[in-house]
Amino acid sequence: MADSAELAANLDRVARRAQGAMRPWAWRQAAERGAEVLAPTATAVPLLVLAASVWGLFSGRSWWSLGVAPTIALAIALPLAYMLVATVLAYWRHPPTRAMGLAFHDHRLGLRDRLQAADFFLRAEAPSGFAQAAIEDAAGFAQRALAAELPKLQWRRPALRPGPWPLGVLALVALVIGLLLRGQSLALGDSAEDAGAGEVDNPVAAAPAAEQPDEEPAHRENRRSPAPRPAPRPSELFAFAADAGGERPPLGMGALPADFEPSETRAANAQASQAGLAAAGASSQSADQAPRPKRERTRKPAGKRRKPTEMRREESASSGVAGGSGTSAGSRLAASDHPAADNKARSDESQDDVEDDAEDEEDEEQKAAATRKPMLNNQKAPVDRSLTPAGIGDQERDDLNGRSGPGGLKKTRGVAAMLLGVPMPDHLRGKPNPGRVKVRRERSAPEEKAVQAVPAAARGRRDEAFGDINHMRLPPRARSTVRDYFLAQRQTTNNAKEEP
Amino acid sequence: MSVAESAGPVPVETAEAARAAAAGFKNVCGRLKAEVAKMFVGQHDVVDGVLTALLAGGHVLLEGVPGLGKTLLVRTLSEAVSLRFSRIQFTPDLMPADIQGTTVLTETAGGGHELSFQEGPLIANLVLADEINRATPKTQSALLEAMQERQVTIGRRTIILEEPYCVMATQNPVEQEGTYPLPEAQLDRFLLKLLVGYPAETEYHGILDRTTGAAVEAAQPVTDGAEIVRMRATVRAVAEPDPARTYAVRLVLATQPNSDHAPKSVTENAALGASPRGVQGLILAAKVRALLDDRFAIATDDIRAVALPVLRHRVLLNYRAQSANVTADALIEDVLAAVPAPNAVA
Repeated sequence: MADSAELAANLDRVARRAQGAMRPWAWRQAAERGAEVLAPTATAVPLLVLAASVWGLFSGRSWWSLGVAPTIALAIALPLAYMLVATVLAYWRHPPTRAMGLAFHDHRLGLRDRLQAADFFLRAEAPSGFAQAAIEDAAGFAQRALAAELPKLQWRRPALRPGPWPLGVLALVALVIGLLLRGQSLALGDSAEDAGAGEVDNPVAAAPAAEQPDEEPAHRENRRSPAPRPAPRPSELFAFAADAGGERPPLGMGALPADFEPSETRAANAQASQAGLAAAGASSQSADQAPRPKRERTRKPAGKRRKPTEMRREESASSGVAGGSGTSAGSRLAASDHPAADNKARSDESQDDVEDDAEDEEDEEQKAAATRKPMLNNQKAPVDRSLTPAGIGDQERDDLNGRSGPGGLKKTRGVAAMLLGVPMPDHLRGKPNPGRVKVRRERSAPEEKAVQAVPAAARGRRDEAFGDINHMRLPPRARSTVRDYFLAQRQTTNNAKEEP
Repeated sequence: MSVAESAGPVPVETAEAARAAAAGFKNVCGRLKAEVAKMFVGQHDVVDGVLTALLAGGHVLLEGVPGLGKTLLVRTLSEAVSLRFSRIQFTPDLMPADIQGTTVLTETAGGGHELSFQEGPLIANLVLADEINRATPKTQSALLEAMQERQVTIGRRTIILEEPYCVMATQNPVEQEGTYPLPEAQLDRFLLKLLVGYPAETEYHGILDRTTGAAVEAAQPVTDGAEIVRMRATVRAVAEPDPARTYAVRLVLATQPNSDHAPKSVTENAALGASPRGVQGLILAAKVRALLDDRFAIATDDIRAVALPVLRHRVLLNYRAQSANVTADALIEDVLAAVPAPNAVA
């Protein structure tokens, strides 16, 4: 019993020594485990910044209010803090235990688990004879472990696994892109207007602000997004001009420099000039959209209602036909170009309904004009009166009212339809269904047939090898498929082995 | 009285008794090895494996090309332990009654006839099943009951086999035409599967000396069945500390696809892993190794040393592994590399 107590004390000392030596190693192991979460965590802040920037790109408002330096600091500090917590947790879960200390000595001194076994059997209630022998056997080895110099635990450098590194690169790229895109917005259609609306949330409240030259521009800048923007936008130019106390330039009629003219405005100008319409009207309409975005948003349903009419206008313009519709639209747009009328329309919303009624009347007038001059307004293709077989299969069109040429069915009666347009196979491949199998039973009397029996003595001696006996268990196609599969597998394996 | 009854229990309750039993075990093993070495040259791993299976109470499957002395090794061992030995040459037309025994019509002294039971070669202490994979599954299955339950049932007659009982089977990895691969249930009943390779160059000279000279060597009995039974009891008394036992369990779990400890290669290439018999085999074989190494408890190193012969026939490969030439030994090597010993540092 005394020997057991002495052995237990020795094992305690051995284990404590080893635990002390293993503590730095255990911290490094914990740090290695903690570093595994570094890359995934590092993507959090960059992805948030990127999402905020992309959101701001389309909506004009970014909900990420931190500056560049705090953002970068947060992107670095957050994963580091998380890694620190993960490291502490990993160490707390896997500290160097007593058993690990004994196993460390067993392994270093080649003791074949004698110390661990003795420690295990010492705690057993009724150790067997072999367990007692193992305990006594370990006493000498425990003394040897105490006397031995503890080797320094080598820490192997963790292998560079490809797993987390792409995440780190992704985080860096996302952070850079997110920071570059901050404060920018797309100038596409309504989004540009929305972006302008994003700068000034309430245009009605913004108008007096634009008329107050004594307000500090920097003060209004603070109300906007704090991120710097690379280039000024037309709405900002207007606001800057108003802030400077200058007169607001007349909208349309080339009031904007070509560089700062919105793309939509330029497109409208080009379209109007091509159609021979009032280019200034179209331009003024587009330019007017910038300072009153809210009103345009409220009129969107009306715009939808007018959509067929606008489509007809575009068709007329593209076909080069200068109908009454184009002129009418131009005059209407030109009328709205007047600043006084514009202000009046902005102040009185009921004027919109009056304009919608006027547009409906114009649509009716266009329909009447189209009835009087059908060939000018009709965009249908000229009637094909040829007898080519191209018309085969066309459906008879009811809307032509008998004014069309021969239809597809009629054309098929012509000589041209006798040409074989579609190559048709002249026979069918494959095995037809054999149909029902008819079984007929016949009775016949057994017949005696001569048997060509070979006597055993005449058979000779079989002294030659049979050769390769091939067991045909699969049909040839299946054998070929299986063989190709295994050859491909082997080829893949060989290629993988050749490419370390 | 059978050998097992004469042996009796072996009380190993004190450290002194344990030391004495271990010393006796090692002594007998040494003598057995020396006697086998008279006839069988080299192949020390194979000899150790066969002795391990015999002393651990298991069966052994020897696989090797013809001419390597598999049959000679088993026959020599049976002569050295002085046990009842029978040899069965398995052929495709061998029937279960041919090895288990059957009822035959015999003539009595008075000129009459009566039915009497005649034991087959399966009823012995050491059974050499030569080229076991040449018999049909029906005949192979006749071995199952004898190997696991140590009894043979023929009709209504059940014969309890005498201890020690050990089946040593051989099979040829080539000439697979006309063979019947052993079913998994039977493979699992073999404690070890040993691969017999070609001897080294120096060993060829010893083989020539023993087989082509005028002097004819013969193995002499150095022990008996009772001693073998006592040695088996000694093996089972060896202590098992928890780390070694845990390691054996994890190794077996790691051979099972999709288990928590299985490496990727096992999940991809193995169709079936080792069963609980695999853990039993690991522990028993490790105990024999610990005794031969003058230790009283098994260690994780013992488990690692016996993992290949114990587990290689219990891992069933899938088609992917066969097409990629992945062997069971390679998978077990992966398992050994992937599963660390408990409390292992670095």
